Amino acid sequence: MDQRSELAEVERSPHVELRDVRIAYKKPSESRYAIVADDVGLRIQQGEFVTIVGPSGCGKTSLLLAIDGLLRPIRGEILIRGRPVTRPGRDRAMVFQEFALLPWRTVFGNVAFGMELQGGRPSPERVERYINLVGLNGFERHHPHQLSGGMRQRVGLARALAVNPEILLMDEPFGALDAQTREVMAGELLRIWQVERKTVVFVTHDIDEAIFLADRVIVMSAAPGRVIAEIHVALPRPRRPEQRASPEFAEYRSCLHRLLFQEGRGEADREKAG
Amino acid sequence: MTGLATRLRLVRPALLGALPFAVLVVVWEVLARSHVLNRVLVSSPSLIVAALAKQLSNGTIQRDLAASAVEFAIGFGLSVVVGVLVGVVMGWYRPLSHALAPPLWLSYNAPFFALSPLLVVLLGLGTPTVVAITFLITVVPIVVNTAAGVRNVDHILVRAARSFGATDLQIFRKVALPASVPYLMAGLRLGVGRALVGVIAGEFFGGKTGLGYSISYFAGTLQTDNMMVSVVIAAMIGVFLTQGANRLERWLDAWRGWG
Amino acid sequence: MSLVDGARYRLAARAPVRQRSPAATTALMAMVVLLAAWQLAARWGLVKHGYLPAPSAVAVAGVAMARDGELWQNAQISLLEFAMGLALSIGVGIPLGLLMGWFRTVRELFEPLVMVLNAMPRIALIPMIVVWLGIGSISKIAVVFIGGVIPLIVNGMAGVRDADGSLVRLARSFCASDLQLFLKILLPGSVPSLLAGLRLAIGHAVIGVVLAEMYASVRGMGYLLQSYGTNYEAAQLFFLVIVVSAAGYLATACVQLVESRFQSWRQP
Ligand SMILES: Nc1ncnc2c1ncn2[C@@H]1O[C@H](COP(=O)(O)OP(=O)(O)OP(=O)(O)O)[C@@H](O)[C@H]1O
Ligand SMILES: [Mg+2]
Repeated sequence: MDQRSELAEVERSPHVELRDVRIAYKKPSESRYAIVADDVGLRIQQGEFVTIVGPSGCGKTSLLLAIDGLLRPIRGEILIRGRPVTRPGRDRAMVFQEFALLPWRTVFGNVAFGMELQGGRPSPERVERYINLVGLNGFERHHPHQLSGGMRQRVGLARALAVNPEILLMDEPFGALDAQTREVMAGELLRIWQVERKTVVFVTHDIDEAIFLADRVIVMSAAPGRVIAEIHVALPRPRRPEQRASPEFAEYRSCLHRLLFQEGRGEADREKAG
Repeated sequence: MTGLATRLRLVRPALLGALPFAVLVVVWEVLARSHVLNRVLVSSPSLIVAALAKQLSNGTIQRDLAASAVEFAIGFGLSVVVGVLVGVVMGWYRPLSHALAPPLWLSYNAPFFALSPLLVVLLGLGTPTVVAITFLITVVPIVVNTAAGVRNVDHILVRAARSFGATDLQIFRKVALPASVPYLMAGLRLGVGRALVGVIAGEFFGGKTGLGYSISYFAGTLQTDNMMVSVVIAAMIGVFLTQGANRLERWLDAWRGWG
Repeated sequence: MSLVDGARYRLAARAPVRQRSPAATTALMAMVVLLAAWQLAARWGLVKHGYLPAPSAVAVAGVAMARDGELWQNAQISLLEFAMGLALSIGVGIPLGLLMGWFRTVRELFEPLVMVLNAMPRIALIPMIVVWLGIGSISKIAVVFIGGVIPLIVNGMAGVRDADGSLVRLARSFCASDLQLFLKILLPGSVPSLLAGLRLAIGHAVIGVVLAEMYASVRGMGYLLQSYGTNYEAAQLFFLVIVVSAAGYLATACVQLVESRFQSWRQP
């Protein structure tokens, strides 16, 4: 066995690959499936930052759940490093749109939760580090019901980061944050991503955020969601807030705007911008 | 093939659920017949069926059922009317709910059936005493739950309704009432169970007919077969009434638009 | 690693007391008015004479019973029967209920039986239990057990089955094993439901122990109630009813105190 060529093969093949994925939910009391996403093909490289935008209800959350292994596509397959996904794995962690915090645990306990499940008791210092990272120091002993929506969301973020996954699946992780915190968190996320070379799949409704963070923006159509465009964002890294005001940024913005609005009016051309 | 499999899957819960009953009946019968258990003390399914047939033919069951049903209906009905009225008023006027809180909580688990000797003297043996005990034991949970329901109506909803120009009556009919339905139902459910306990316990100590009276009488005279008949019927009535409560709850949910 | 935040709970539990003090005043005043009305009604003989004892007479009778030790002796026996029966029903009911919530087959097997036992007036079994187990403490413990175990089973099952789906998904996402899912999500998630079940169980247990003792016994609170009742000693009877009611309230209130701590998790 030539180990080097195998390694090279791994390098070249995508980290996450979706092939003609169709996701559907069974309607209660019916045997018929309601298709929520169809024909989704994606190749995400190791260390790539991909954002997904699309109208509400187009199946973005469902797609992330499928990549995480919580939902099985009824057609097509999802591969991670060439291996089909059958169940959740330690290489992936998800930030849930609805936060999913344990109401009976404190912030500290919630952040520790993921680590706890994946191998014994985490050291308090480690938990503390991630609490600081999302700016919740001082709130360790608060329970979720004592936090604002944005704070709750950051607990979910810290919980996912703390297990140090290779792939971060983030479902509108900044949706409940105010504009300032949102930008600060975006910068922080990029910093972590750059240092730890994670692969990120990031769902958002915010066009600016999608561009600012991404190597590539995936645009989806209304339900049943299909990929209608992939936009490579060629802005230089590391990204700085000033870039949001640049003409290139504006171009990406208007392009995405057009795609999403076209989609809103009806049939969209399958186009690839880049 | 698949049709059979699906049908099997559908009846599976029913089959599994019937199993413990079947095992109980068979084991009981076998143990009784082989004299491992004393048949005078524990009876047996076949003896119970025989006793049931006899009670049906001589009218004991019909008489018991009629008496218990009347007591239940009056006691429970009275509790619902009084309980809901008092509960609504209590939920609406805070001070009243504060004032009534201690006596209510004290009577929540009170052994009112112990007062039966006094009630028998005051009201007379049989139906009046049993109804009084049933009422006393049933009304409290209905009051408490109704009051909680009215009290917990979401103030944001009330404010929203006001801002759309709703009158007080409209708020009561369209916001407060639907919002307190779950609490009311919880109260009624508890109430049904309590009222059954009230009727049976009342008849133990202050009745002259009825299921509870029969249970106690047959037990006292060691007619275990006959006692079991009454116990089984009491259980069936409980199941029947619970199903009724479930039906009512679904109907109310549909009325609220959750159907 | 769930850090129970004791300090916060204590604060939260203390704060409302100060707020509630006008309510406490109202309650106290209402009590005084009620007692006065009762006293006058008894004095004027509104109810057939002798059958509504005045509060003062009840107090006098109570003091006498407490003095000669009769009250405590019998209360002790009832308390013991109550505690043992309840402990037994907790030990059996909670594990069984959780098991039924967790394993579909166990649930399908026992749910109908539990539902029948839940719907029926279980006190109807008292005479049968007395016939089988005699008039001693064993039969009382059995009555308390049967009264308490069913609501605990039902609520344990509901607690597991009504678990928050998004939390189950979360645990699965972090590769929780079945055991971890049970211990870290389902079990803590069903605590409120179990506490509500415990409150119901206590209610059934109090009624059960008194009723069983009244039905057939030579000692215990139910026995005292029965013997003073048959002698029409109304003052003593009222006193005993109040004592039992207060004990039932106290036990329920303890559970409610714990419950109110867990209430705060529930997101609005
Ligand atoms: N558990 C479920 N059972 C049935 N249908 C579901 C379920 N979850 C989601 N759906 C349906 O699937 C579709 C896509 O849902 P999904 O949550 O993936 O959308 P989304 O793109 O994340 O929307 P949003 O941007 O609003 O979060 C919706 O029409 C929704 O009704
Ligand atoms: Mg979503």
